[in-house]
Amino acid sequence: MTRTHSLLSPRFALVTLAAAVLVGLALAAALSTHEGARADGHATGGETLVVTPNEADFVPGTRNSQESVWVYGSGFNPGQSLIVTIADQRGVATDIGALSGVDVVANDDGAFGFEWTFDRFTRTGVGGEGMQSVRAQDAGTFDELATAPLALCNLSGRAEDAEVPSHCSA
Amino acid sequence: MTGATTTVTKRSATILIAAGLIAGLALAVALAAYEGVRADGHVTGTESIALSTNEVNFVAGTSRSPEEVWVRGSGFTPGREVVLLLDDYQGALYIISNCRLNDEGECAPGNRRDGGGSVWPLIVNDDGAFATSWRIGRFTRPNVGAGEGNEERLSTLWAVDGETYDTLATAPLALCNHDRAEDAEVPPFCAK
Repeated sequence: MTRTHSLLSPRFALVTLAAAVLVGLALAAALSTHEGARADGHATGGETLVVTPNEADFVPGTRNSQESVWVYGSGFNPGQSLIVTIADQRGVATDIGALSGVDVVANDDGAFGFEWTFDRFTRTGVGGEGMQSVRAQDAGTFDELATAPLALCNLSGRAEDAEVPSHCSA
Repeated sequence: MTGATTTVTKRSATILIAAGLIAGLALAVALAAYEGVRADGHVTGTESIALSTNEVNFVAGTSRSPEEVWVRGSGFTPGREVVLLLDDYQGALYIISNCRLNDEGECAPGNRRDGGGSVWPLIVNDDGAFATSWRIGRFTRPNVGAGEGNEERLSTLWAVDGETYDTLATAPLALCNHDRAEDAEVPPFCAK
């Protein structure tokens, strides 16, 4: 009588195991590629934000400052809605597009631009002197896409004997 | 009775394949996690630097220059040290953010006229930003910032991580001799 035994040869087991490991790696690679494509839906990788000038006259305590900076972006996805923020004195993000009454949307060339007048941001307890990161985020995902530096400096209202902060030219 | 044969059952084959798939996925996840941790330690991906001017008066050969360029950064990892670099006359990267040291190797604000950064060490603040003013100082001297044939040039200013020296952001800076002779040719990267 012939009996069948359920035995594996070591060679066959190794080959099967190696093949399965390869399939697992390929699957993981495919999934990570898919994730990248999804992320790329919002990010071009070439986003740039410019704030000019990058040192602005900011006199804390002023009720309505008429000082302003221009905020420009490029390399965004055309039609993309963006939120541009700066931290207030407490570190809370403030939407400066909304403060300026602008819906920040990248144009057909992936660019945008608007003027931000400080207005009430100089009031006591709102904004303050400081070295800040202005941030551009995707309005849907809040992913941070680009930043630009802005030094808020009391250039015209500082007392002569007052110490000049290290981020300010005067 | 005949000898044993090497037949595979469906069950053992399934277990082997499943184990292999799990091992492959685990390996891929481990590798991806390692890469992520390495990158996340120092890099946000949105670092940016801006200069107060992209063209500065650079008169090669002078003993000291009082010219200053503000370098401001944003989007960096809070608390990290940043080092600023510019190529010297040989093309080697020269640290421009350090203060000038005295004979004891200590930062000497009195030596500011010799050049260097106004803030040292240059640490990123809680909002991911920093600012320093680079005074050109002795960088104009021969065989420091200027050599024969490269007195005026368009350079890249590099902001790198102070620990790993990974490049985080760059900005262009034109070194232009605004005191050049009237009949001298103006390089294409200089406004004047």
